Amino acid sequence: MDVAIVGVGLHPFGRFPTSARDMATFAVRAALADAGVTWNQIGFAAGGSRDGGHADALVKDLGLTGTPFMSVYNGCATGGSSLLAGANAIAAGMTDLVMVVGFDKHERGAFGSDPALYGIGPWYAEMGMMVTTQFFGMKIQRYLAQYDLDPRLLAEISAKALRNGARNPQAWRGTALSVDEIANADMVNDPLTKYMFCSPSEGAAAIILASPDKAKQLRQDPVWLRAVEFRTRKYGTFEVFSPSLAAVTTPAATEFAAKAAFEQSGVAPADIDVAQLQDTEAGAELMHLAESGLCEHGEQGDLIMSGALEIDGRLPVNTDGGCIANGEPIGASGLRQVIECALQLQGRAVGRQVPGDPQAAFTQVYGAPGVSTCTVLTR
Amino acid sequence: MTSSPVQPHLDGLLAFEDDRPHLVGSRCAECSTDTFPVASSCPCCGSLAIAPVALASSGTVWTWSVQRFAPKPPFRVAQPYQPFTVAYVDLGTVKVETRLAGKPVGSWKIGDPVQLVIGPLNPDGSDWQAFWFEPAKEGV
Repeated sequence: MDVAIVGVGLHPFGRFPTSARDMATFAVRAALADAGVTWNQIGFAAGGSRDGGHADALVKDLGLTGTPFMSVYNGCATGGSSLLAGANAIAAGMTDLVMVVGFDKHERGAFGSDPALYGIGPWYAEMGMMVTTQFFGMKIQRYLAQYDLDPRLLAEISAKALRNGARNPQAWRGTALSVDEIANADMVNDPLTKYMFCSPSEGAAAIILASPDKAKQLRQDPVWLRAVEFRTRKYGTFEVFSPSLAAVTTPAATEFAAKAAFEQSGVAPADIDVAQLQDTEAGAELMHLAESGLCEHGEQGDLIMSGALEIDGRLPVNTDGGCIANGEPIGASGLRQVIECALQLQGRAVGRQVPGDPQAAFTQVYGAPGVSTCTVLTR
Repeated sequence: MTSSPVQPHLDGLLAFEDDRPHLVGSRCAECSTDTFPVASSCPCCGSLAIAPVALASSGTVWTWSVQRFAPKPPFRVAQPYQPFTVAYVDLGTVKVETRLAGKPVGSWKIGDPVQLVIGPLNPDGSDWQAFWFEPAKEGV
């Protein structure tokens, strides 16, 4: 894939009096400025939000230029799907300049969910099983037992996220916590304590994509999007709000998306210098490390305890603090990951720069019910 | 399978055989996949050739967690809220999500043998029915 990232813009994640629309236009204008282009040069746009309003309606504030603007929604993987739509528009020769945006503003607390939206009877919620955090607890409980991993690794992952977030001026959570503080905090859904989850939050992220020729005109240091691969689950995976699961188990959507992204890009997992993985809770990062092909299932303990996943380690993961330190504005979250990787590859990650001139990066978002988008980026 | 003497909100989920309850799922005639509850098509192959099937009434705990906080409505909460155990129970042909009871929360282990129970779930005197699994009794 020959598509360049020529501009990035982020409205910080957290809690703000600002409307979701205003955060979105802030991020878009920042990305346009970073690329050195104006909105009327954009030939295609894509974006998505769960609770922040219709993405295509942003044209009223950005300018009514007639640009085709596709609204996208795929749960937590919305940003990845917007990026795919934008990258394909360039790859197809539709235009040489694209804007993608994600934004959101959620109510506090865990997402409430109506079973009818998922084709499930009311009994499921009445019995107390329509709870996302419960699913995360059961999924990582099984995984830890299956691969004989220490539950304390979950506290280590959360501690890393908060440590990295404290170094990132744009992160929501600015306070590091010790592994003991996290492990000994109130249990939410065993084995996950309250400091192991991300929270719904607010924010916006925008990216300007360009064709190779256009990119060379615009900047010296474009980042190359070598692959964007999107997959839905196959029968036999373990997903949220499932009254039953298959007798057999099948690899998750991420395994197929990541494998395809590495094949498409010609970059190997061992070549990755920095990665952002979906960490809705600490167990998700643990599982996604292996599902992405960055290690084998069961090897995570050695990686984590050796310090390999730290900013100065061999494979820095969630260098901006991930979802745990940034919260998760659903529409924006996947694009935040791509922006963080772009900044790291360009040496622009203030306060948290990965040393050693990183050359290749990987991102993975995963959302309900079983969708995953993975990207590979290079200098 | 006989028609189930259960409250309307459980209609179609359960049936009885010799007074013993079992969950009712669907079996695909083409790929033999079982699912719960009854579905209109096979989640594995998409076939419409599926029919109700009596699922096993006992199995083993496949994974579990504890619901430490009260879920939002329409959860039927008893006051004061008491944390409960949730699990997937492996019934052989399918794994079913359920509550567990009969042991302290947090004391369950993957692989524990369990059997299906139906009755009033809330310890608040309400007769609102639900299904759950309890430790299997010897000889049942």
